[in-house]
Amino acid sequence: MSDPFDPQDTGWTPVSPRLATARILIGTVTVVVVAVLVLAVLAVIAATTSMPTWLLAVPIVLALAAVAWLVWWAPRNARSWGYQETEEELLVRHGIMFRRLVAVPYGRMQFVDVEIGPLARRLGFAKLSLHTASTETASTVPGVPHEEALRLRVRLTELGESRGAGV
Amino acid sequence: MSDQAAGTLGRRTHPLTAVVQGLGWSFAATVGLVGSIVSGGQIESWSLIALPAAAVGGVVVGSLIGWLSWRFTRFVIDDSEARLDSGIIWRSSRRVPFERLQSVDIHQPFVARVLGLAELRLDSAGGKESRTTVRYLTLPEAHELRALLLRRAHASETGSDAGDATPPPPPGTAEGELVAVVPPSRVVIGTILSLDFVGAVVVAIGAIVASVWFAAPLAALGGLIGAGSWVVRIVAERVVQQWGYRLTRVEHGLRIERGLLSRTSETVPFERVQGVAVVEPLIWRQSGWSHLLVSVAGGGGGGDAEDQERATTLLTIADRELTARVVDLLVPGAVQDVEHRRRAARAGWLFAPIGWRFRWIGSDDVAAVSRTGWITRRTSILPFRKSQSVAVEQGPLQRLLGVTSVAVHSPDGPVAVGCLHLSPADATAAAEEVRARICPGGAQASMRSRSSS
Repeated sequence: MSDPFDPQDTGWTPVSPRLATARILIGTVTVVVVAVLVLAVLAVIAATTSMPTWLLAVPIVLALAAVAWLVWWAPRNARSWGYQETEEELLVRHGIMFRRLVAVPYGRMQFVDVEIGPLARRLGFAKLSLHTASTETASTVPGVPHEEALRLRVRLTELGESRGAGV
Repeated sequence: MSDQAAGTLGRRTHPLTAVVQGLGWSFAATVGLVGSIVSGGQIESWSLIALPAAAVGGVVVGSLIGWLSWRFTRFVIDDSEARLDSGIIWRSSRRVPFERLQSVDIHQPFVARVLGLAELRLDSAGGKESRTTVRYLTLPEAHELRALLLRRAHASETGSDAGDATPPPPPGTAEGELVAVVPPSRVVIGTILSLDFVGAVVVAIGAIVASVWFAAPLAALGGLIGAGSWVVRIVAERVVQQWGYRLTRVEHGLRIERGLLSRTSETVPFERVQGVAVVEPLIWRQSGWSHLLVSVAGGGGGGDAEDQERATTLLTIADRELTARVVDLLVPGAVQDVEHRRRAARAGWLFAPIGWRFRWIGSDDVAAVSRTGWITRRTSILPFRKSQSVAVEQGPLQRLLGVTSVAVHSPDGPVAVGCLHLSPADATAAAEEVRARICPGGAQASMRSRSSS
């Protein structure tokens, strides 16, 4: 099997499934707020002009479609994320439509960030970002369980120091 | 440093600095006035008096202010930093700690050059205003101070105490071993043979022919001005700035000297070279000529985009032998034509119907190398020492066609090694080869686990 994104080893650590919950929540709230605003504007226009009232259904249908897509997409995407600590590198993979696998050698990591938003804190996960001298590395892992994120940060920083981060 | 007295060094800039500033003001005033006269539409008698008045007045006022500010400017070098104190009313003191000093370049703007003066540009790491300019010093003095600054910066970097132990080379003499001189004739021929120059000339001729044909001189003027300014830009960038190009090898890097009117001398330190790209435009390729770009960490300092671009051009035009030699100096052991290549897959032809045949990624012992392009061929060389991470990517259309891309990440710059649309097996293999080189033992673990399953 030569699929470069799905090597047949079992070492991939998945991210928290609550990542999907958080994304659905945030996404739904955003969609609802936008839909309500658009509806309000349309309602005013409909009241003052001769615009047909059935047009009011359009934003509702679009909003429902967006939420449905979100409910379909978020768990799927959350499942696609995975990382693996090998002897010398951290591997991060993600995506189903657009797939990407990045290998970051420990020795090249300059610093590791853990970012926790308010909702993520309630749900108990964090976003881990790895920084090398290259901005293209663009390696962030969302939805890492809180404890695990802190453990990883300590471990990766140690490994980075012992392998000698160098530009 | 043992000798404190010898450690600290305070200097004034050269008194003629004031004159240079005066001439600058005069030029600005004259140009401004000419601009307003031209845009005013009619030339009146007063303008004939105003012009010389502006020119002379500019010199006098500018020189006076320049002289005052010169009196208040001091350049101090001590054990740990360089400092530029200036300002008449608002005193400012710019400090450049040696451990943050990245490069020291000498630049001679045309007017200063005529007077035998030069400015010293100190670029330090990080920040927006990371460039400190000391203007003006005599040329030998600038060379001497640069040598001193670089010695001390290097001493602070390596922590050695022998900063001033080696005697400075006599000022004015060219230090280091000469690597290449690009004769002006080649710069000119190279420019004439470049596609965009030919394009600009064709457009200009086309405009003339069209205007004669349709008897519309105004339309020709528009075309001519457009194409003309394009030609002027090309000539200014490729001929005037690259005139008298000399590349010398100095202690820790390569030194470039170039310029017809204003002259620049800058250094590319070996340890900051992140990658090299060899660009071979279609016409040049017949003669084996190419253009060499480097990515330098912190390159271009706080300069504008144009500065950055120039900082990354190491050789404007070079033949095969010279290119190979300079590539070997920058990334010892690297070659363009590596034996071990993985070519883009035919399956990905839809993305680049012609280009796919010319793409490959490969590696040798010291660097990852990739090539793209069939009109302008570009070979990128990224030393493993400087490679940061490796990514394998695939979009929906790529999956449909069964191809995968690989990218090797380097610190930002003009050099990017990677290959689009390889077969998945090749992509995996290429990525693993690079990973195994970046950290020996790294990719082996996952290769083992894969082959065992």
